Parts: sequence; C-alpha cells; structure tokens
Amino acid sequence: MSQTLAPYLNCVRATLTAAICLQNFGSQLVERHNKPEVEAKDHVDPDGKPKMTSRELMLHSVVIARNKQERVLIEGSINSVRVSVGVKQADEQEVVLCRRFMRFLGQRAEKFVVLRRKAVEGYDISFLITNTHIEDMYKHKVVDFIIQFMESIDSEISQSKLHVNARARYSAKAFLEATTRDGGQ
Amino acid sequence: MIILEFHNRIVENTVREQVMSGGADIVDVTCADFDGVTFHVSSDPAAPGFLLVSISTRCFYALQEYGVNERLRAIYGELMQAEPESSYDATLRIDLAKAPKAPGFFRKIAMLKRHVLAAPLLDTFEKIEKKTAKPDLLEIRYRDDEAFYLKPEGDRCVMIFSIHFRDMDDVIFSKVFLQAYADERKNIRGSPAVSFSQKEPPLELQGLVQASEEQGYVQFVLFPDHLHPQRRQNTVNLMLTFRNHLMYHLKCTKAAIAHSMRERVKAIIVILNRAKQSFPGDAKEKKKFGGKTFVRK
Repeated sequence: MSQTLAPYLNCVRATLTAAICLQNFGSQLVERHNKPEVEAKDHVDPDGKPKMTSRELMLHSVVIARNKQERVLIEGSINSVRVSVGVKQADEQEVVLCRRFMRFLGQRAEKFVVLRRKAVEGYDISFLITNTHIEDMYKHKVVDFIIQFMESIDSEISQSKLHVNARARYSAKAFLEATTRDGGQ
Repeated sequence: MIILEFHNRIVENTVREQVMSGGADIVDVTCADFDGVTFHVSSDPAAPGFLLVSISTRCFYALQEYGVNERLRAIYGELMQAEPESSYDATLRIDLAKAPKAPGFFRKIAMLKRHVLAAPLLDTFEKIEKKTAKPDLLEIRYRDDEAFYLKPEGDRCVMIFSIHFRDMDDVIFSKVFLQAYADERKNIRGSPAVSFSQKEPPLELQGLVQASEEQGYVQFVLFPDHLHPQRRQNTVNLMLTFRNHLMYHLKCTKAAIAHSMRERVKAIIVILNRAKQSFPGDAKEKKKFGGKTFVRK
C-alpha cells in the first residue's frame, strides 16, 4: 500500500502548491460582493439554468486518482480552491466508520477553518481555501495540513476498526467462557 | 464490567437500606430494568414496617404457561403475595423487622426479574432432562419488537434471539461482533454453538416471522452440559442477559470510537495552528507610561 501512497501524496502536494495561488477578487456579477469563485460557479437559477459563470476565473479541475475509490479533486479559481478527497473504504465496516468520522468532522468545520461542512457529490470530505486564509496562514503549511489530514483519516479509520474487532473478541470470549462455568443463581 | 450484572442494583440497594434501617424512611422508588421491566419498591402504605417490591414485565401472561407463579413461590416463599399490586405482575412483601440482614437476601430480592424470565427456560430444560419435551418452537415476546425462541431437540436446546436494530450502523457492527462469537467459540471448549443471520430468519423460524432489514437472528445450541442441573442456573443467567450484553458492548464501542475521533480532532487542530502566521505587530504585552503592563488577550 505504501508504495503507491508516497507518490500519490507528493503529486497532491505539488498540485495544491500550484493551485493555491490566490488573490483577492471582488465579484464581477454583484456589486460590492466578494465570493469564493469556485463555489459561485455551481450556482443555478431558480428554474435550474446555470447562472452566467465567469469561466476566465476558473482553472481546469484536476483529479488525482490512486484507484477508483481514493482520489482527490482539485478545483481552482482566482480567489479560492476547493479540494475534495475520496477516502478508501474497503469493506462495510470501513464505510460506516468513514461516514461517521466525516459527519463528525463536518459538524466541527468551523474549528478547522478550511473545512467545508458538506462534501462535494461523489467525495467524502471537502476543503475550501480562500485568499483570506492564505493571508493569515503560510501556504506551505496549509498544504502540509491537508496532506497530514488525509493520512490521519486513513489511520483513524483503521484504528477504529481495530477497536471494534478487539472489543468484539474480548466480549465474546468473556461471555462464552462464562457459559463453561458451573454454578449461578 | 464485561458481563452485565444479573441483579438489579437499585432494588438491591433500596432493600438493603430499608432492612438495615428497619424502615426508618418512607420510600417509593420506581425504576426500570432491561427488557422493558419496571420495578416498584415502596413502603406499604397500609402497614408501616413492611416493604413492597413489585415487578411488571411485558410477557407475564405468556410466562404463566411455564409456571412462573409456582416458581416464584418456591423461591420467595411467604414473601410472595397472592395478589400483585395494581398494574404490576408480581409483588413481594418484606417484613422489615424479621428480614435477615444478609447480602444473600438482598441479592435474592434483586434477582426478581431474572427469576421471572427464567421460568420458560427452566421449564424447557427440566423437560429435556426428563425427556418429556415436545419439539415445538416456543416464543416469548419479552420486548415490543423482539422475542426469544426455544426449541428442544433431543438432549439439546436451540435458543434463538431476534434482535431489532434501530440504527443501520448497528447492524454492521453487530455482524463483526457476532462473527467474533462464532470464531471464539471454536477456541473455547464447552461453549454453545453460535450462528447468526441478518435479515433472513433461520430455518426454524422460516414462515413464522417476516424478514426485515432491521432484524438480526442469533442462534445458540445449548448442549447437555449446559442444561445439566449443575450448570443450568448459570446458563439461564447468561442467556437472559445475552441480548443486553451485545447491545451494551456495541454502544460502548461507538462511544469509544467517538472518543478517539475527538482526540484525533484535537491533534489535527494543533497541526492547523502551526500554519497560522504571527505578525510582528501582534505584541501581546505592552508597557504603559505609568509602569503598568497592558496585556492583550
């Protein structure tokens, strides 16, 4: 697993470093508004037609995929970048644990500053980095943070899985051993 | 606590206090136990110095078929009242002056729920021993949406639990747990055979129950060793708490996972804070002319 992990993360790191070149840019459509353009591009009219988007402000989206499940979508624009991560979920248990963990993180999105509350469709978790964040934080450290976040998700899910299995075995052993004992009442 | 206690701690403590103090205070305690059972411990309003302990279960009517009243009378003797309190199924009346001040006595009162629910199991096991058991499936619906089933098979007994999971995540975790039971069982000699299925009821129940996404079925095959009088009571204790034991550990696991996620979040925030810049003009402490120091929080 680790053979393909390091190049995957390096690729993500390099792409992020290139994509996070942000500057302040007021909205071209609405006076005095300043929106993250990468979020604004998804807006649709009430009747379902996409609003006039400023395509000159968007970078080409890039998907870096390790396999069908594990992939990173990086959408860039002039003042914001949206990073969406698909997490590896090998079996049913991991699916459940991943979903629980992502919901847990999403609820605390404010604390994480760059985290998005809801993940983009088809991905498990999303980040939104804007020019104001980059003004407050070092860019290379933000990229570090995102890479380490991805690693920690994987390690958290495998750790939780171990917890569940260990407790299952322990409680089963205790119960079954008790059935072999005499006495009671 | 790996295996849940078989007695009700609240009832035990209340009875102990009352007996030790001779009924100095008036009590009226209504407490719940697993499986929708309610206890009512109160000082008898009609006669001071007497304590009433009542129990109500959902399936008492069904249990009467297994001689639950006779069994309770055999265990509790004259404490058992002929007429239970209103809206309860069985009542014990303790004379606080004459009650033995022994832990064994308090424990015996606290095991009331266990003794009530044990009736069908003990009845079946005794019949198997005497070889008078009919190979019919017995159903005890002890909870609103769950039941346990007993099926004598020669000198063994098959006990099936149907468990209703409200949370779909529980279904998946329980698969892990029950797989662990099936695996551990091979290593422990003398343990009952365990098998489980989700959604599809086992062969014995086919046609009797509807298949449902939220139902799981766990099957124990109890061998003659487990039904033997020497081990019988222990087997009954464990079988009655099995369902609650499983759910308890499931919930503990979920709590442990939530705890570890919180720890992980704290660790991640620390990494994030390293990214924050500190500006030179951001001095926290400034000295004022009067000699005092201004600290910016």
